[in-house]
Amino acid sequence: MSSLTPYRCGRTPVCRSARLLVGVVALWSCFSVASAADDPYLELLNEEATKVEPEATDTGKDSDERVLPDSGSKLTSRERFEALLEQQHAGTYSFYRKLPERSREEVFLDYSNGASMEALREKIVDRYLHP
Amino acid sequence: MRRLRALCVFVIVAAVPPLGGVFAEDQVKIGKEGEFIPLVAGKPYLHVIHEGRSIKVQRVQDPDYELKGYFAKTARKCPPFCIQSATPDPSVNGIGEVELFEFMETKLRDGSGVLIDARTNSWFRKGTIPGSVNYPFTLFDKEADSPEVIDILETLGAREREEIGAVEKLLEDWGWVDIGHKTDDWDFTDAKDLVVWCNGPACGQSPRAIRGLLRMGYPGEKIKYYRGGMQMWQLWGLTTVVPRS
Repeated sequence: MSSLTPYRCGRTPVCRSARLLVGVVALWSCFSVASAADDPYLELLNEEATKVEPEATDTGKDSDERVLPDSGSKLTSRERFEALLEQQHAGTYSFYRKLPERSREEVFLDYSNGASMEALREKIVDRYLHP
Repeated sequence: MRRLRALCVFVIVAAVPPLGGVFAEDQVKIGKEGEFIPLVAGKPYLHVIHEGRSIKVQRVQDPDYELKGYFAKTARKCPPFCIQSATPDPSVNGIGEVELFEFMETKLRDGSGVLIDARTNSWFRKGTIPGSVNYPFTLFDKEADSPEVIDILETLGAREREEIGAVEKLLEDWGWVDIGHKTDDWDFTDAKDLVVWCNGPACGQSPRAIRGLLRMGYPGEKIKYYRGGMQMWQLWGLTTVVPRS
């Protein structure tokens, strides 16, 4: 009877080490298979990427740096805009000053880009109502 | 209450005198009447913040502009560059450009959304859609407990769950407690809305990123797939930026 019983590895240090080794090898082979499967795809992707010329259609002329070449003039322009808004459109200004900085910056950029006061007022109210 | 507030605001704003001379002089006309090509009817452009800069997103105004270069090509080796399904998973909705504009003006602006360029960095460096952050799809192939993934998930608003008791776990497993957007390890309740994109309809990078996110438990309803990607974005002559970093 005992001759038919399959051999079972006990809890001896040798058996434990063997099991650990098998586990590590299995894990390593899983990772290596996964990365091997990925590598050709990644290689192809990188190869394709070399065919693309870096291209930006953003000319920068509408970004804040170009509209306002240096931080000094940025402050001046923004302050001038805000002063103007406060003097001539007090109601709109009262909403504008409650907006978060990002929205105020956006409003100012719209103004710099030539948006009409009507559009600015609409945007200010919209941002105020839907923060 | 909200309507009353809106009405009050309307009345106050309407009562303010119309545009003064100073503003009228400062206005810049955008092209001649009817010549400017807007993003959509009534919306000439929009602004998004990209790497700390405000970028104006608009269409190329040259009527003779034609798409050239890599994204003008119609044929690519398939596999791997095969035409993708409308959505990589039934739980994730696909969106087009108009919805992406709306996303940029709402969730991206107020910080409750993230626009993810899921391409490898070599693509990202060549140019991207303004407002995008680069999380290559390969990151989402990693195990959910790897440091990079933990870092990204936390950035996206997910929170690691603390150890829960055996009884609570049992109740959750049996469905007696509504777990909402929680997994065993993560709570996605406050996770941000994502729009994930890559090179276009024949690009498998963002679908893989989305499947990776779903595997980690990110709720499908918080993910949108912009299948058009860079190819359609450029086809419409929309603004692109080359990342500085």
